[in-house]
Amino acid sequence: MVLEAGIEVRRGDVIVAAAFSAGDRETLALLGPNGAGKTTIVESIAGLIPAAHGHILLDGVPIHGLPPERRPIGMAFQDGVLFPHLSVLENVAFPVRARGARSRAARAHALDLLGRLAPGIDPGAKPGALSGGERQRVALARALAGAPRVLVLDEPLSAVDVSARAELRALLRRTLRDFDGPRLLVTHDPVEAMTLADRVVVLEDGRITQTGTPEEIRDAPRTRYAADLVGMNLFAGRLTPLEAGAGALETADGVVTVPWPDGVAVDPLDDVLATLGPADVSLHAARPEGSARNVVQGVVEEVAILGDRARVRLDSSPRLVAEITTGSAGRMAIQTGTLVWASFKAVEVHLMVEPGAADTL
Amino acid sequence: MRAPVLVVLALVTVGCSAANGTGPGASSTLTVFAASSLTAAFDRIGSDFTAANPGITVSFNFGSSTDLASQIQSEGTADVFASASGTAMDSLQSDPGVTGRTDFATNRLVIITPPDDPAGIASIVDLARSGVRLVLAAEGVPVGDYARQALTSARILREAMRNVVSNEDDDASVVAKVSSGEADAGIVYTSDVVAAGNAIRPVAIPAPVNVVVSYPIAVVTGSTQTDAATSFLDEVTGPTGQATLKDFGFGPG
Amino acid sequence: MRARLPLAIVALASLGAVFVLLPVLALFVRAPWSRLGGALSGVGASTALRLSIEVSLAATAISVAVGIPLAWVLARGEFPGRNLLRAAVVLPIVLPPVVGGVGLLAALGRSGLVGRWLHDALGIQLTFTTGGAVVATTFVSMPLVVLATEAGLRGLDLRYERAAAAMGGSPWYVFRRVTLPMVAPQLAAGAVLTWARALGEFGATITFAGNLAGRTETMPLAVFQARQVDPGGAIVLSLILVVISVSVLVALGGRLTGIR
Repeated sequence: MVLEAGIEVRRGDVIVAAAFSAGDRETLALLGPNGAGKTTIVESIAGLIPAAHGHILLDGVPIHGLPPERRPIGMAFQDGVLFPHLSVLENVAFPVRARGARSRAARAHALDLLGRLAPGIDPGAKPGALSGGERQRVALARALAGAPRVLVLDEPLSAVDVSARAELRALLRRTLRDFDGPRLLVTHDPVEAMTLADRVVVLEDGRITQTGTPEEIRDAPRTRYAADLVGMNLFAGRLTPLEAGAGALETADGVVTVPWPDGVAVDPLDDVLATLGPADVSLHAARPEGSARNVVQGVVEEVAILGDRARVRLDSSPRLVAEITTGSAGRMAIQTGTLVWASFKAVEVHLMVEPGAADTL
Repeated sequence: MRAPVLVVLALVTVGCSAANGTGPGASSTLTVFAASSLTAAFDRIGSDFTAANPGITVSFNFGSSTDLASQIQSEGTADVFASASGTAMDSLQSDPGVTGRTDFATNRLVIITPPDDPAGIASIVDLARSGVRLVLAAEGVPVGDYARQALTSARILREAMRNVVSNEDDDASVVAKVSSGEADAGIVYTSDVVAAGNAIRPVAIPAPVNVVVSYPIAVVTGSTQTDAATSFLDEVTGPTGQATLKDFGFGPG
Repeated sequence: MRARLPLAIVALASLGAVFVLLPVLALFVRAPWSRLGGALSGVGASTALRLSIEVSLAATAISVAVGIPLAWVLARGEFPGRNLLRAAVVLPIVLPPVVGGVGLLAALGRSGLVGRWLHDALGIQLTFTTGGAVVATTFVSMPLVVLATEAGLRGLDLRYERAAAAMGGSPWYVFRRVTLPMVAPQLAAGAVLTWARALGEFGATITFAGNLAGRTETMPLAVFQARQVDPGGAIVLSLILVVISVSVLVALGGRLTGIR
């Protein structure tokens, strides 16, 4: 199953235009700032907003002429949009019943989905009684309930408070991975896009500015927005205590010294994400002596010039992207193959661990 | 959700009418309560009276005689009462009392039909024919009681009552139902026929079964303007007033 | 802590409350309690009451059935003259009911615009029939349920209906399972107001449908009629209406105005 979309949607005075495709079992993230038109695009694909021009094909078959209820798309809306007058169970059974299934069969199917995606939530509860994270789990179950061929998740983590986010992100990753078909993930959060998506479409002001794998975009962002938000160094791994106030994040390709997060018990922690701004990485011709705790050596793999900045990708341990001025790059004669030292302070590393997360994991 | 409620409340407050007051001053206002069948005739008599007596304004309150009588008892704001029934006037005899009572006009009953006469009414006995949609004034309303009296005299009360489709509040409402063509026939006063003109077709009721209604007029005890009230009674019973009443279909008192 | 109210407000509020309560109180004081049973049977209270309940319920049912789609069109439709249509729909609230009755006569009377055709082609005459009373009552009371439902629809977040469509719901299914249940509170409040208004309807009914016991003489008409013959009976009939209306309004409590 392949989804191909090339649409233009008028939204007020702005025209949102996008062309992309999502392959079978591929997760495509639509990443962009708020107001970029991401939701407009997925709602147009779902048939909720008419497209001015364009086509939406599913395995080559056009679906853009169908009314929304006949498009095989399962959508989890931003903030859930669960029906407040229906119970959790009835919400999840809704897509099944709407397609004509009998109440009993729909409920059984809904209960099964809830058991897998939202255990511990009372199926008889009204959505108003749920937390943001619980609502999103129910919304996820509801999106899957109608056996769709395309799964669309619109900002699934935005209404979820930080303490529940790590657990929900893991659930999203599993759900996306297991879904048999194209998956679209709408998000304004680069970490979400980078960790959950196979490919990323960057959308700004109603236009696609870049499409590529997370690594491609991180290494060579084409716009300031992409550079600032997406072009981050991202570390993932196991966090272990190192000394008072510091920890070691053991990634697949190297160890990073990081500050121990406030309010988190001093115990090893799995699945920890951390980001580091490229501008916070300093490059040196010789091994630097100073306060920076992280000092590594590596060969320059690529130098990308973006305006007056140079993004330098290092084959180091761990791998790093540094952003320096073109002047500095020229002075240091940095080019592909140059051997340089890189350093950054532990405190510059931003850990994506929320207080209390260790308890829920 | 609150808006409709407010609208309803607002409507209720707007639906009041100002009370007729008799204010002091050089020009006085005479309040006359009169049966609604007198409306057209009394309007003219009133203006004639004001022309002859500058400084006295006549304010009329027309309505069902029974209603007017009970209003006079409870409110006592009338100077003169002109009733379409002796009974209504009788009820004021002891409370609050009346003076100078005299019958000033007579009225008779008449059958009315729409101009095209869909039911083919030629005489009172036709009202007994099944299928005729007959409209009367309600019991308790003088013209309604008189109509029943006439139907009784014609020995067709039971049959005619089966044909009644509506008991109206007064003779004007009966005329409206017939002139609009909704009803096939009604029974009202001859004075109503003059007022309605071509909108209805009258069918006479023979004298033996007809009812001659006397209209009494009197000054209501408690009136602060007995002199003006007495002058008004004189105007009504005098030649000008009687001629006006004749023009509007009333007989002499 | 309770709000402390300024004295002037309390005084004016008391005045307002007394103004509303006094006529009702007076009805109780003046009622001929000693001959209550006689007064009741004398003025045909049970016939009028049964007819009133039938007519008001029928009018409410029609108002709801036609009023919901009308509210939907007004809330969601985008067409020229929508505001004009809304004004027309609300008009019966502000019109004197007798004007409504005259208009109904001109439209649906035996020689009216449509009524002529109804009569000549189908043999239907609405005037002087219970059906006519229902028509007149519906005309006057329907705007209340339309307004309430439209307000509910306007307050409804469109995202729910769009979500329901994306979940595979056909427009009719979405309307039935999502839209209608979500405006149910406003709809119910509007229906109750409509019913209460229908129960008290007088002017349009007597003008259009006439007044005949057992056929078109509803409680308000019976009260009006009884004044002529038996003022005490009129008070008894009025009291019955007061008791019924107050019971319903109290039972509904704040739900009527949406204040809980």
